[in-house]
Amino acid sequence: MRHLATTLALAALTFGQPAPAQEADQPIRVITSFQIDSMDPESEGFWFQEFGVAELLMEFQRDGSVAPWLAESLEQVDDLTWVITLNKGVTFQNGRQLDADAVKRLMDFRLANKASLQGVVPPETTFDVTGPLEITVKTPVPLPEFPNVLAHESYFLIYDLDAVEAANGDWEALEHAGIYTGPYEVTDLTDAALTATRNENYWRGTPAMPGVTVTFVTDLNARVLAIQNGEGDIALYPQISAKPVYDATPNVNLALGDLSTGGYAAFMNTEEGPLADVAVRRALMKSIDYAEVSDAVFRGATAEAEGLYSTAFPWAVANYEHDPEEAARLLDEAGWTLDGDIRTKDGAPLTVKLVIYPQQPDLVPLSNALQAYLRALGVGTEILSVDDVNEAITSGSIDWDMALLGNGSATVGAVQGFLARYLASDGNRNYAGYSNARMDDLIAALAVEVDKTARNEILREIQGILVEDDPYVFNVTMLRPRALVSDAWSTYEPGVAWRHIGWQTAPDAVR
Amino acid sequence: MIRVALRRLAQAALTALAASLLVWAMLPLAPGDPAYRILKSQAPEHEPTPAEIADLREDMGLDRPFPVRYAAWLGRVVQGDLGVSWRTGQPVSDEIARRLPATLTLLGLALAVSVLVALALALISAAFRDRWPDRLIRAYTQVGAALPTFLFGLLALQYVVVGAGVGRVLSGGTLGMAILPALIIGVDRAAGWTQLLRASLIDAMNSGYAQVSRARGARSRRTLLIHALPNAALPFLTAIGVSIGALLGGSPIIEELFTWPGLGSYTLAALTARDFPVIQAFVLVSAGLYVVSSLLIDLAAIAIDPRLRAARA
Repeated sequence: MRHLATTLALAALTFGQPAPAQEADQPIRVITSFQIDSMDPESEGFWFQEFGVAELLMEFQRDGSVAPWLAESLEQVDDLTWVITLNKGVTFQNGRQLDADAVKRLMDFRLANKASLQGVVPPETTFDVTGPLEITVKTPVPLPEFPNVLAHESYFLIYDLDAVEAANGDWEALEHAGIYTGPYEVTDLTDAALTATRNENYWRGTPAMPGVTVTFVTDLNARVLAIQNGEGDIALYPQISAKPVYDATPNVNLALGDLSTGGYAAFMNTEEGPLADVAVRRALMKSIDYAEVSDAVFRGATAEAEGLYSTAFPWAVANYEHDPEEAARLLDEAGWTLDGDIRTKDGAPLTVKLVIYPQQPDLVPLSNALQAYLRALGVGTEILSVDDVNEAITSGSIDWDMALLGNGSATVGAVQGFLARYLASDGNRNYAGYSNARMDDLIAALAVEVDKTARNEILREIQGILVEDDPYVFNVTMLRPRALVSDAWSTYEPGVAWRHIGWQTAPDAVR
Repeated sequence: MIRVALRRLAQAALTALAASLLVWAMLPLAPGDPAYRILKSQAPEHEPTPAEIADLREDMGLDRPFPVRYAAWLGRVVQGDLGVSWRTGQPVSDEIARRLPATLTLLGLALAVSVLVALALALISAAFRDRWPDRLIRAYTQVGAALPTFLFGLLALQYVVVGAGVGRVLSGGTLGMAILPALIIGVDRAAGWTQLLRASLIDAMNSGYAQVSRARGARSRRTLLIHALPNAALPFLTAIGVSIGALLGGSPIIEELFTWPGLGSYTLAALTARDFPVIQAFVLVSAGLYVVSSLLIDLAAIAIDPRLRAARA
């Protein structure tokens, strides 16, 4: 990384050339690291939501709320009944009308065939057409987060099921087939790029730009250089810790959004090793200077972690505290005495095995920072990089005490999925066998609690447990939506809920 | 010559077989369950259950003993069937056939560059031994041998493409865009070959036949080209043959950096996903390429060295 920084900084000083401004007749040029493998809407469809091709019934907003999009309204009639009313005049790009029949068929199909959706919406849920543009949804149990489910790209993405079934698995036939409703229609998909052109009949109005090209470039250096060289407008998935390099590079800007629904989270092994001792876990959390991590390690490109949730959410509790003296006292009380540089107990040194993974290069400086905080507390750290962190720590193939992961605690504003999967005793991503009876009760209650005030109380209690009573997971720093953009796109706001391109997305020169 | 070719082809089959057996034996030792990774790649939001993993392992044949799996795979390969990618669900032979021409184009160009550069620089270096051209070339060979190819590539993208405005960062796969990465690979690879050929040329120039040639009035350059070069070329050719596999093995990273649409990112993705059929196919292609190039090198050596021709006779 240091080589890259030096190289780019030198080049910035010696060869930088201003790039031309974006013209109105040029498509938006996005560069991303992930390839879209096919036009199959079931396995790959979520990508199309991100680039202005596909849409959802509801949309997650920058303020943390969820608002209707293809739906004109979503009304909760009672605890078990929702009514979706579609906007009038919405058509697929192929001209077919988006009506209640089309949506009902699609929702039935997705719920029956998508295992991950069945974990969120009970399979017994029914969708009935109760008007030309109205679908009534009945759930066997209350689903307070149903609006968020409709705003999640992996669940009820809207497409023309008839057209997809007619293609009969010939995915290339879906290029030009206009199966989505979004502002841009796919005209070509290759191993190298996705090309989409303006949907002239878009239901909201005329899309701002003539099209979108999404080029698949896995190498981060190549993505940065392509922006610098004026070959792209927006590059996704930049390394945050390279912010000083971007700042020194002509025509490269790190665009940051405000609302974060996740961060780099630390999961602690509560089952075995030194972190099985709750005092050690509490001490580790107090040893970290969260403000310094965001300000010094990531130069303001992340936000200070004040709690498990972004402070934009009404249920968020800011209960993280940097108190190294209290941390030391907790360890002293727990019998971990300082003997030289490292604390010991019964002759055993207090050393933490910290797991990171290379797909998130920002975890390297973050793990180094954690190592320094723990060192100051008298705790040793061994940093271990594995190529698949989820698999490594769930399979038991490695010894670990703490794992750092990029994680969303309130993706599209929904909290139930994270809590049920990661914190409930029977959660399928409960890495460390974390088991807290009160936590299980709260998660179960939250799953069916409809009243917002009561929900917020439950969530606040959960956050309290995770800091004061029985810590297991905490955010080390909060991520902000981010992208690298050219000068012409310097006012670009990175999308929330992975929605990078919308119908009005355009550079200043075109607006 | 034909006998040599036939013997080489037989060796080729054995080499490919040995390589595939080695990789088959080693792949299961890599951490990570292919079934888990395939399921995760297909549905990132969904955590596979043990039952789903077990079902897929059965479908993939991973529950069968290693010799049975290897024999089944070999049987299919003999019939030209490289299997189906676990990650994409597409026939591996189709996916490789689509990408291999781009990789071969890049490697062919890179090989041509490296041979020409090494040949030219080694001759100049030997002709101007211990004078400034030689010192300059030796400095290049030291730097070239020490620096990794991707760093050369990064510097070229930064200073040549972005800085000087020559070419593009995003290649788009056109032939013209292969020139820069081919130059990078070629110039980097040529560093080691230049060192080798220079040393061989200097040895040859100190040999008895070179001294006799010069004693009979031949100019040094004529002695270098007519007498020393054919003798010094044999170890050079051998080094080229040995390096073909390394060229292919190192190409994925350069292909990724230069967004060249060859086997690079496809192979790297397969490695991450533990997509064994694709990895095996890549090994077969590499082994095949190595063997074919070694055969061509052998034939070239026989063609240029009369002693080898006499020995065959």
